[in-house]
This record gives sequence, C-alpha cells and structure tokens, in this order.
Amino acid sequence: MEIKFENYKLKGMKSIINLEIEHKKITGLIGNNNDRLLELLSLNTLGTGSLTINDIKITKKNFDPFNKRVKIVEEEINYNYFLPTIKDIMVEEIKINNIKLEDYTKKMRDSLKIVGLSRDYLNRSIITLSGYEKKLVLLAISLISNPTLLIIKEPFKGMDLNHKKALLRFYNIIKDKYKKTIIFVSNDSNMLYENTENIIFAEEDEIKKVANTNDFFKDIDYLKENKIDIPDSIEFIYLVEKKKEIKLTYYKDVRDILKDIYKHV
Amino acid sequence: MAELLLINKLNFGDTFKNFTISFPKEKLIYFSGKNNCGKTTLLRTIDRKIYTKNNVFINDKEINEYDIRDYYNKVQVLIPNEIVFINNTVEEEIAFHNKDLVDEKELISNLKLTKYKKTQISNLDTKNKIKLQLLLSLLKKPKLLLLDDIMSFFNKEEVEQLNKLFKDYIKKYKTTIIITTINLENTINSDYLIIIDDNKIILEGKPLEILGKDNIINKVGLDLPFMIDLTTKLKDYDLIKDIEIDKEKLINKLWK
Repeated sequence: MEIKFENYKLKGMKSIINLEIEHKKITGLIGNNNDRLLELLSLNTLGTGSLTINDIKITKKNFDPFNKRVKIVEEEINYNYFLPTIKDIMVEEIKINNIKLEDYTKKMRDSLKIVGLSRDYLNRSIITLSGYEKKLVLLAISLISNPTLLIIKEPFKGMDLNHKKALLRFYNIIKDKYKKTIIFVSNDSNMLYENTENIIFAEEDEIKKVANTNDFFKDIDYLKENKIDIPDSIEFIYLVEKKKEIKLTYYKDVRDILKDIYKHV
Repeated sequence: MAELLLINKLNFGDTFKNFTISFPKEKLIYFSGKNNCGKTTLLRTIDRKIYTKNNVFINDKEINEYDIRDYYNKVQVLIPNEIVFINNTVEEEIAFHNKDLVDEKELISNLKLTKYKKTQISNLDTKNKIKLQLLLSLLKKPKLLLLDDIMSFFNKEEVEQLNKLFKDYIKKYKTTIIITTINLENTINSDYLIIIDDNKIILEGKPLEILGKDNIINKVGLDLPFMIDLTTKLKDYDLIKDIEIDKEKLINKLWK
C-alpha cells in the first residue's frame, strides 16, 4: 500500500505532514514523542489535507475500508490483572475490528501458522509465553484483520541472534510474498541501519527529515545535532577517515570491514 | 569471591535439570543467554513465585526459612510488564512506598524523574514507569535487586548512566544487583557476566575477559557488541593484541 500525505494533519497536531510511504519497503521511523504521528499513520481517523492511497484520493465517502488496512503492532502484550488466553485476545481483536468471517477458528489458526506457531497456542495463557513467543503472537494478532501496512514497534527487541534472523526472514516474507508495507518504529540506529530502506525522522509529531537509510545515517553532523545514535560501523569508518584520512567503504558486516582494514594497515 | 545467592540442583520443567549456579556478593552482575534459556524463570524462582525446596539460598539460608515480609524487603524483583502501581501520581506512589522516609531526592534526580513528580502514572510511558518502579525498589535498600531485561527499554547513553548509578548504589548500600539481558553491549561496564545455555553455565567472569570468546558466544546464539566483534577478529589476524571497546583508541592502535 503506497500512502501519500500532502499538507495533512489530524485535529490538534501542530504541524502538517508531507510524506510518502513506499509500497513493499521497510521504512524506519526514528525519534521521540510521536504518538499523534503514529495515530495519523494508522489511519484511524481522517484528517485535513490530501491523502492518497494507491493513487486513490481519499475522502470521507471512501475512507472506510482503508482505515482497517493499517495495524500497529505494539512492543509488548500488557495484561496486568486479567491473564487471558491467546484465543481470548484474538476473539477481542475480531470483535473490535468488526471482522466478519465464516470460520473464526480457522482464521486464528491461520494467523498463528503464518508466524510459525501451532494451533496449540490458542489455549496458552500469555504469562506462559517467552518473549519471542509473545512477539510472534502480537504479529499473529495483527494479521487477523489482514492489514496492508504494519507499523511494528521495536521489531527485534529482546530477541537473540537466531530469533532476530527468523523474525527478519518473516518480515521479508510478509513484505515480498504477502505484499505488505512495513514501518519499524525504533530508536535503535544499528537495527534501523541494517534492516530498513528509508528513514523518517520525527520529533513531537513533526517530520524533520525523510531519506534513504544509508544517506540518513551517513550524515554524521545531522545525527549529532539531533542526538541520534550513530550506527557503530558508520561511526568507526567515519572516525578512521576523520583521524587518519583513510577512506574505508561503508560496509555493514564486520567481516567486510575487517578485510577493508587489512588492506589499509 | 563471596557468594550471596546460590541456586542448587534446581529442577523446573524442561528448562532446568539439576541446575546449579552462584552469584557473587555486592556486584553488578549481568545474566545472559538466548531466548527461553530460563532467565526470567530463575528470577521468578528467587522471587518465590515458583515454589522450590532446598534449592535457593541467600546468605546460606534457604529462602523459605525467611520471614516473608523480611524476604520481600531484602529481595526486590522488577519484571517490566508485571509492574502495578496503586496511586494516581508519581509523587503519591513514592510517598506511599517510602514509609521509612529515605532521602529520595538524589535517586529521583539520577533517574531523571523530577519533572514527572506531579504526573499521573497512567500518563507515563513504559520507560518512565520502569524507572519509577526501579526507584521504589531502590528506596527499600534491598540486599538483592533482580531486574528482568530492563535495559532493553533504554538507549546507549541511558544504559551507561544506569550502570553507573547501580555501581554507585552497590558501593553505598552493599546491594547485589542482577540484571538479565540478551544484549551483551549492556554488560561491558558491569562487574560480572554469566552466560548460560542448555541448562549449563557456558561462560562467567569479568565481561571483557569472556566477551572475547566470540565463537562460543555466537554458538550460544547471542550477538556480539560491534567493537568486541571487530577487535576479536582483528586480534585473530594479529593486527592488535587486546580487545578494545573505544573506537578512537582502536584506530590509534591500528594506524600508529
């Protein structure tokens, strides 16, 4: 789903938004205090200004189906007092989104299957799940309403190396095979540098900069000025050039950086 | 090293079979391992949420022998998505818990919570809720503070500040702090690191000494911090002698 916002804002927002979310790409959203911006991107309500989705100009009349096509995937499942089963949460999700289906149980099982979990998880209680399983369940729940745009908060938080790789494979499958557009919301520069194609930098719901990921993170002065963490590999290569006037290539993989250092030492 | 906490021959489902581990006293300890290795389960065991008998000892005393109120003053556990607050505002919650009137100003300032004192707790973001719970735990001056992966909610700079705060707190109050984590970057400035896998202690010791064992750490399924990864490989190629975590120092070593 390609979305274009032109001079667009929600009621109560200070700034207008001009932004294009590219179809079938993983975009990173970095910055703080962007709850209203996330609300805008989630298309819960129609704002003022121009909104185009897949080249269709959106108005009050045709807004309704589009507002169900975006899902925000939260960082954590928080159920402090009542500890329901996965099935309970999925049923609630179906009710909230007014999803009409012939076979609800099949839909729930299919959503779990897409993320690699068996149907047995339906009767599991949240508290028995590991961090990785909770992440997969959150993704499965978000897929029930069949969204076209997934806004995923902290997509790899708390994951070990193997689970990060598995999740990355999953995100690429839903992007390429199921044609979903993805936004990763995080302040983890290293993660965003390695896994996204475009970056949106926003603070207090105001978009400050939109750029290709490589270009965004190589603008060291800009990152420093805006207190954005510099990805470790970029910082190292930048310092080598600054201190020793040696130009290494901006590789992401440590093994490639190592080979490059070896050539210059 | 003197030992505060001993887990002896613990059995729990498929996670732990005759598992034994000890944690030294008055140190900032990071406890790591891949997902599902039992980090949180171990914390729940120490917190007495999972029943054990003759498996968990604090200062050589079995935990069930402690008076329950005394135990929960001595042992504080923070699991982020199980935090519950009773009062409306931050100030009220602190007052409710700080019945001993421990001087809270410095801790509140160090945790950057001063500006939130009048804030409704329901309006706090997750990070600040965690900091609030952390404050309440630290005000109790526990002997043992267990924190479940809280660093994943903070950026690099905040992690450094928290690690420093914990080390100063340990010096002042002789507490032991154990933090579970997946991210080994957080552990670099701690006193002690333990990595477990498949019911065994794989590595333990001073962080910089054991983080250099990159093959073992990768095999366990953990990511190495960038500088550790790069410098262990540079060491393998004889380009440097020791692991270096400072980028500028490494550059000066490589290009003298």
